Amino acid sequence: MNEAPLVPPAPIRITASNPAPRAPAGSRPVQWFSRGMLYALPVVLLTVIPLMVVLAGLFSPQPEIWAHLGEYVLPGVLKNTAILVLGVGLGVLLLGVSLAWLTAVCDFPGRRVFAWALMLPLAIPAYVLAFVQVGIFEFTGPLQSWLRASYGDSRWVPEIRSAWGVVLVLSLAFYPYVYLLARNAFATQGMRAIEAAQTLGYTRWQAFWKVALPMARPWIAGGLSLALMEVLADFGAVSIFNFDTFTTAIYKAWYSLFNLTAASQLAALLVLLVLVLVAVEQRSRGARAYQVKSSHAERIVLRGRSRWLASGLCLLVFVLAFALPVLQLVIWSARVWAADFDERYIGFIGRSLLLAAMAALLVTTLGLLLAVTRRRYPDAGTQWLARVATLGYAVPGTVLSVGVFIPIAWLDNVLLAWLAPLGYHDIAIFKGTVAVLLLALAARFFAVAFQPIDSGLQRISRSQEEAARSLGLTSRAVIWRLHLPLLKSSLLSAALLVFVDVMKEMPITLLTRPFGWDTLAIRVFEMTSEGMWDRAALPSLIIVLAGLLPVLLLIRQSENHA
Amino acid sequence: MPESIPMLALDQISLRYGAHTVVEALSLQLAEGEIGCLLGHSGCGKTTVLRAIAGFEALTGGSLQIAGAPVAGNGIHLPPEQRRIGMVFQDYALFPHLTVAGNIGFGLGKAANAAQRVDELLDLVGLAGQGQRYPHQLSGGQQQRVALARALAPQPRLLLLDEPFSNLDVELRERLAQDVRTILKAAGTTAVLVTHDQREAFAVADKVGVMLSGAIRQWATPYDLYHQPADRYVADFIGEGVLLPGTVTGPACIDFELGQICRTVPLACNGGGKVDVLIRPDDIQHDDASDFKATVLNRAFRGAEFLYTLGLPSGARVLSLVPSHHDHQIGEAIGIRLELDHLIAFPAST
Repeated sequence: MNEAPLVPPAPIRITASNPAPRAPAGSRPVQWFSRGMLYALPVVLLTVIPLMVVLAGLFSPQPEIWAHLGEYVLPGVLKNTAILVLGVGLGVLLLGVSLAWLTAVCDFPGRRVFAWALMLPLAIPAYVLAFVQVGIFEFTGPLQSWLRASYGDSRWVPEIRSAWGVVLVLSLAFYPYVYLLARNAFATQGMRAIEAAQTLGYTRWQAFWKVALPMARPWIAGGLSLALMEVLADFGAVSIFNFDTFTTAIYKAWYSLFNLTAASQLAALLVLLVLVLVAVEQRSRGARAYQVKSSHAERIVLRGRSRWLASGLCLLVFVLAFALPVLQLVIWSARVWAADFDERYIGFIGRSLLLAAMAALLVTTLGLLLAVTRRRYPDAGTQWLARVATLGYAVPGTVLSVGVFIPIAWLDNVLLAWLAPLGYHDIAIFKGTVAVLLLALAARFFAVAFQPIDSGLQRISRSQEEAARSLGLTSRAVIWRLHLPLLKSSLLSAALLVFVDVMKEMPITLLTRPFGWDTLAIRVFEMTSEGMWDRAALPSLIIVLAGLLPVLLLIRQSENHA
Repeated sequence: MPESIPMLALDQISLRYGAHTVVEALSLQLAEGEIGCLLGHSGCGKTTVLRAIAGFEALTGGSLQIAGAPVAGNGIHLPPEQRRIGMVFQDYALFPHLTVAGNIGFGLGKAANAAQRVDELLDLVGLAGQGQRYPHQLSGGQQQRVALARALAPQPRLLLLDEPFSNLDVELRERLAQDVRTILKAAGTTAVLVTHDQREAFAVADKVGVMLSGAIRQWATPYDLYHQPADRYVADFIGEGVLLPGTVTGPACIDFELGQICRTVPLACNGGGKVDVLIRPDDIQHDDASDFKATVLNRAFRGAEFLYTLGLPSGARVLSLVPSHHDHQIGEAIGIRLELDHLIAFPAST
């Protein structure tokens, strides 16, 4: 049984839990170049070229652009980004850690159901949660309308379109990252550590603060940095709140001001912030390499009021982050279904499926190639390149779009200059084609496919390969008769994860799609920017249904582990 | 094939990784149908030798021949799949996506009689009728037999076994070791076993090589290793025993605490020279009638017998294996008698 990857993967790091293959006989001294590096290079360039293009912007500063940005854009964007990072960081910590502790270690009514139900919000993209919550809680929404009808006044309800509103919604959208990892930590070591501390004279409450929480720190830090990467990358939710951040500023600079240089300068700044998170995330992975398997321990049975408080907290989060939004989506969809669902939807759905399928096929193939390369050539250089190739997951889609668009536009210009004397006149060759969109998507979601394939490959032991060789198979035949059959389910789950991520993806599709190439996510963006929540609900509901597939896979996997 | 050509011949092979030498100028030969064993502690290079024979490691010196044909060394390196060598791995390395029959038939390709051959092997390893099960549904011992059957199926010229019993329970280990020898002998297979466990080595192999630091210290039958160890390391490594100091008193006699032994003195020990004599536990017989008394210092009950640690008057210690109805307490003085069939002595180490 192959396991699906836990949590949307971030850049891998070679640690004890993710060991580099054993160096073969005659392992050479560190090389500056190897055959493995050569094979890994095309995949790596897919991520590295956009990043380099964007970062290069930092080394060619444009004074007048910076003057403009510094005066009109940066102050607001930096303040808003700080609010989001601090506010959502705190929010996901509070929600994620407390829910993880309750479901992993304690016992209270509904604990079993909440343990998996609290993962379901992963299926709802942040931009969907954002417009649904705004639609429910705004002045004209159902809640305030009902309050006014019943009590004549709803002014005491806080304004949802505020910094508080964004922080709350994004916390509800991204807490599952912390929840998943922290629960994993508490479930494997929490109770045993608490029991050890209790034998040394600590109360349970003291033991939680002194032992269980510090032990889980690497997991929590990992979940937190993943959540914050999503916060920095988020484009759809903040644009619904009109809350300007780097991603919306990049979009406006590019699409409203047609100033690609300003967009790339902003993107460079954002990349610097992201790299800090990548560093934190990688460090936390190293620290959680050594994980002990826990013996079965008794849960803490909550009694009296605290058990109902625990159930109540879990229920509140589940309702706000999943049940209520899905219910509202269904209600709105039902309302507009008859009027809105026509042949255009065949187009939205068809393009979403086609794009997702093409990206899944492309990225899974690339992931398989790099995973096999990494295994074949265990030299340090190849391992390092494999790590770099997975960095794209941390890079916001708006940044990648800028980084892919600039070199493609340059290539177009060069080619057109060559072709002009031959009588070929056009304005673009690659620009605005599905190929460019696919390249950007592949760079962004490469890690999503690579990780399950890579860990699947690592479960095939060296001796299994050697057994096949000694039974007369050539090294190529080993791939067909051993690797592929054993990797089947890893490849399927890799393709499924990419497929769903691409369906949910908004900024890359928005910025690099061919003219008129609207997908479900684009439809959501267009309807929400008009404030038509009910008409955005139908495409959203389809996206959420697709998003449930990998979450159910994840839930099944974590149940198997428990 | 003339009698003289060995099935496997290693000639002065070396394996070096950078500055680190794992195997140095190692030679050995196996005749067709013979079972050899490399015995030694982990890190002595025994597995590396095995992997070099299989073709997973490249020689840095020397040469390797199978049935008289060069396979590695002198610029040749035949890839593993062309060597017709079967291998049984420590972790069995069964293919989890294939049934038992699928695993055993893996190396047979599209041979016409593949199904029949699979059935033959299932019979041979005592798993008849289990072909449609999957590896994870089998016990450890059964998986081990499947691994053996899979390696034997393509009728390899040579079978390699890498610590094949180390993942099994102790009781199962000995029985399977016997079974494996029976199966290999029935198939007439030439084989090399690698292990750190001398009981396994003795149970399976015709010839055993005791390895230390990448070299074979002695290549001999199990009986000879035990009774005719070539040096102190082998004497110490194989079986139990102690070395007692003695003096060579004549052309063929040694005097020591337990008396005088006159027999051919094995090594180059000059008259009057100091030697150490190897005394195995079975060389010391318990005899109440004997005047020579020794004190029981420690006792280990082994079921059928006791292994007593005895203190001699000089303070030296010897071991004695005594049938377990002779139940003596610590501190008791008991009569002993020397019953030495094989005199092993080494020049004193001072």
